[in-house]
Amino acid sequence: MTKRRKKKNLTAYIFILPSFIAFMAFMVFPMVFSFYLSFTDWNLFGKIADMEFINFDNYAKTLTDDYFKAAITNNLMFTIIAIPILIILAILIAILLNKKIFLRGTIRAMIYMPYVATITASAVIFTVLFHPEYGPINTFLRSLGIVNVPGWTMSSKWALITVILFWIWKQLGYSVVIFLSALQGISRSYYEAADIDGATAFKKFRYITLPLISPTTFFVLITSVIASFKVFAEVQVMTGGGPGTSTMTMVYHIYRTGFEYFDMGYASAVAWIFFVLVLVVTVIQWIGQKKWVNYDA
Amino acid sequence: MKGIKKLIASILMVTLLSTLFVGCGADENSEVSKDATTQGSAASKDTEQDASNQQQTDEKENITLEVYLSHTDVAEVNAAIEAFGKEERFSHITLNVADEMADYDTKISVMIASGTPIDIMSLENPIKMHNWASAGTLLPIDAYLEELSINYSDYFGEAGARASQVQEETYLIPYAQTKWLLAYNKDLFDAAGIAYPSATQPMTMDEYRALAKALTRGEGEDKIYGALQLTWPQFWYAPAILELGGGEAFYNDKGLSNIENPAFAQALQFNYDMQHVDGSIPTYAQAKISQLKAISFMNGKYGMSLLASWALPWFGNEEKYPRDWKVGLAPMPTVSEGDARQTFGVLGGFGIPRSSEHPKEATEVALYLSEKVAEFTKGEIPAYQNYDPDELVGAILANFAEDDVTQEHIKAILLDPKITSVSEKITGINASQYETVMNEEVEKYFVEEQDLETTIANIKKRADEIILMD
Repeated sequence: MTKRRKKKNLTAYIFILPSFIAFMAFMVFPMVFSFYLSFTDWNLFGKIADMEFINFDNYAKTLTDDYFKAAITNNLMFTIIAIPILIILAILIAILLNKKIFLRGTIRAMIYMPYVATITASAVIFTVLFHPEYGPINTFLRSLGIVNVPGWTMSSKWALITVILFWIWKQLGYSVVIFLSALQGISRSYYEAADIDGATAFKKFRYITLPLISPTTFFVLITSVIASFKVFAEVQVMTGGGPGTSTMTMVYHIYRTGFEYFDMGYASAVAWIFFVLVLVVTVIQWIGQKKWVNYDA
Repeated sequence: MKGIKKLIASILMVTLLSTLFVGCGADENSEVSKDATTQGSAASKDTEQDASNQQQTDEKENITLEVYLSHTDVAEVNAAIEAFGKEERFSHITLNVADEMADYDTKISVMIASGTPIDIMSLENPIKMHNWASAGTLLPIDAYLEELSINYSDYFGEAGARASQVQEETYLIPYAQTKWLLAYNKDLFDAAGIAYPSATQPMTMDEYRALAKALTRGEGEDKIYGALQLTWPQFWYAPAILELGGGEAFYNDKGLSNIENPAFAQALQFNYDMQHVDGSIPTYAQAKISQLKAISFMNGKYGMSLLASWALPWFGNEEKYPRDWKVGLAPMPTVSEGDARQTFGVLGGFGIPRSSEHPKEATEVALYLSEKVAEFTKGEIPAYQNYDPDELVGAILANFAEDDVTQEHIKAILLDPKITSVSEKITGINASQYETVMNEEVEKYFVEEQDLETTIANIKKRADEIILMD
């Protein structure tokens, strides 16, 4: 390597050094330390030197922890229900917003607004909208003649659905923007050729649009699935994990265990199990993408 | 051109590297000076006092105590801190009172865990005290009390001294004791044509329920409720702990959950009926979604409310809590006719965290503040025993200038020696998690998702598992 090249490399490394140090200090070290903590009984306040190594007791505890089982179940249900709805809605809205419609720019901004609004304020307002007795949603449903209106956040059956609805509403704008940019990147020549061959609108969507935006769909899928697993603020503001444990999520369980009950060892174990779960889901998606993601265009 | 590029690259590199080291360092001086500027007048007076007494106190090391309180607007505590600033024997000590923090419990625990020096913190109720003491967050202060020759029972009474302990070690320096009572909106009673409750003789719970039903009127958002209901669990288990003798009754004689005692089921049913049968109190769902708080009573839409004595100063604070209606006070209802007079409450006060750098001085100062809270009370009932009851009554009465509340009323409701005060909170092993599982199951009962029998059975099963975890 020439001296000049070495100097350039050194300059580059020095530029990335602060970020690297921050990454090591605030990402890598906490991860490694939390893995170590997951095998101990540390309670946040005791001296590190005094903590006891308890082997796999924390991991074994998850097998009998009702909150852990409820949290994993709720998270999986959340993802399975929310993601398909989010992606389908986002694609359809992006297609609509890609056409020349009246007030297109304003509508695009309105769709994106929930994404930038603060979670806490939005969640409080959403909760009021879905008030089982006085909220406008149930008032409207009653006006349609529905007698047994949902209890929303006050019903074990509907609380998770309510949080899902809020989450989709919040995430939709971001996904729409991503899909919109993908749609705008598709060459018109494909559609013109399809028109010449007499393809219907559905066939154009099925054989041109969907395959060509598949890399974007994959990206939105990965990021949305990870985001759906990280649900916390919505639960804390809207339901507190209840009624009962019907909206308990993994992150909420980890937070409560670590910062309300101070059981950092167990909270770390749950966090690592959660990490492995998200990793497995992501790997499955990565392997699955070979079958349906089209990078050739 | 190349030389200029090199120069720019070098300047950028140096800037990046220097910001790295500057950013990593904590600027303690600015934190201290920021806290100092936001302190009450006590700190600046302390500084002046320190300067003038410098020669005399040279042999005592000047120290600063870091104080983090959950609420910084308690008038008595602020008056006590101001008095501290004038006290000569503490002229070598400066109090640094930090700004009030949102989410106090989480933040203070993280600060203590990270070793931030905190000398005095708030302990609001026994559950928090047990939680923090069990986790090793707090220092037991018995050794310092011995050094200071303090007899805790002389300060806070036998019951107070015991209530300040966890496993026979003292952690709490109490400054206030709460007692619950009944407050009522006189204007709503007048509108309903109902006579005011007696201020000296308690009504029964059944009479309370009947009154609430009679006061309730209207529908929808303009509905006037007979009584305020919060999601706090003592709003439903009040009759049970009054009957059974306090929060210790959540545990049976084997140390397991006592929730199967019929008193708890009766209390749950009683509250459920008021919500869903009478409609005289907000349902649990309404209380939770509307985020009703104790202060909601001040909006004038509730005929009555069970209230803690720490709320009494609200009625005198016209600026913060303006009201155009008159309030009356009555004793805590009893469970049955002829029962002995009872109420429930907790001790609240200060604790000394493990991260304190001056625990003995912090203990001494906290005890001093507790004494002074008793002297400067504006309505909080002091935990410190040696206070002038007439002054306390006068301070409480000052909040009810226009309400026709008399000295006799206050004495009968709060200070009658015949009133037994029992502990308000679950008091025992893993109380915090016990309360959590109980709240989860009770919530499902109150939103009509499960019946009473299932609720009791679930609480028993889950609470026993939690107790046996210890």
